Amino acid sequence: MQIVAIGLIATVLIVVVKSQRPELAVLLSVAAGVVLFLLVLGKIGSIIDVIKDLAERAGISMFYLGTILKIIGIAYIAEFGAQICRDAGEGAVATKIEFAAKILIMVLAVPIVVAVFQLLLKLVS
Amino acid sequence: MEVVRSLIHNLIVIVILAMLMEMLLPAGDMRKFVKMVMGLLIIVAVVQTVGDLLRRDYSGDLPYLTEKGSTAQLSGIMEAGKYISGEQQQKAIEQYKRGLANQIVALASINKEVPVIDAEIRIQSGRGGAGFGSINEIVLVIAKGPGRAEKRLDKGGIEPVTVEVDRQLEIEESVGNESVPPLEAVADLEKTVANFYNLKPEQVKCVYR
Repeated sequence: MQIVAIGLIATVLIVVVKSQRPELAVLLSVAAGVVLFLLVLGKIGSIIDVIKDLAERAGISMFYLGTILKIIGIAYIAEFGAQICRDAGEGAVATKIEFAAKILIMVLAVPIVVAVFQLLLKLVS
Repeated sequence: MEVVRSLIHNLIVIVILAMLMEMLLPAGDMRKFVKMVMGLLIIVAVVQTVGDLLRRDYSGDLPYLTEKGSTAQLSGIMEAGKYISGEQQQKAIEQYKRGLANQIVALASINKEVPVIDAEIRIQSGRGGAGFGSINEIVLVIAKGPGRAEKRLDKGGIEPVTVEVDRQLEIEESVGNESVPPLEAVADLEKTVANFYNLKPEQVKCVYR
């Protein structure tokens, strides 16, 4: 309820301010995003705990799980940043942010890809 | 039967995990990238589970999966172990030094001429060295004897004051010259302590306080 209210208020403010002061509208958008993120930050912990528990039961190493969670985090941050840039009319910067995020995700995924590749090769041979 | 049951159990857990993690994925262009990595993780988990069923160990092929985390943990434990061991050793050395100091003071108290009030021990504390724990040096702290004026105050009571202009100078001189034990007695004590602990005579020193 709080989150929806904050979102609606921020939207109305941004729409009102946008015509007069577009630079202020971008700042408002960023502030609203940060507040909404902080509101749900505490609840993410419980989800991570459940995922960790399930990964332990499935015998998946915490190294892999940590990598996956890092990748998800990078994806979210890049998505948020790119959206803000697009809202401010900077599509080119948004594309670059997404590009950087993709590279980082691939870098983090390299150990997993190599491991799976070796494993599949061993299974075939 | 038990093995199949374990396999199905693990697969169910993996499927639930995959579903949960898919719900976490961001919407947009990044989704397919994260989904690919997650797919690989699911492959690894399933192969591991099947490997367990076939009693084959794939951990050697997945160094990043199984080795890295455990190594990091092990190194942490080793570090903590070294720290605790170092601290315990330090405490042991301190206790050893205290015990030796007490022994030396007790030994020195036999000699009534030299009032030893304390002993400072320097020990070879370099870990792993050949002479670890051996005594490097012993410093005997000898009390300077109180001057005549102090002795008078120690006895207690107040003596009647008599003004003697000529004697005043003599008293002041005696306060400045605190009595020191005879050098022969000090040398004897040093020799005794050195012999007792099988040290060279130059390893035992005396300071006056």
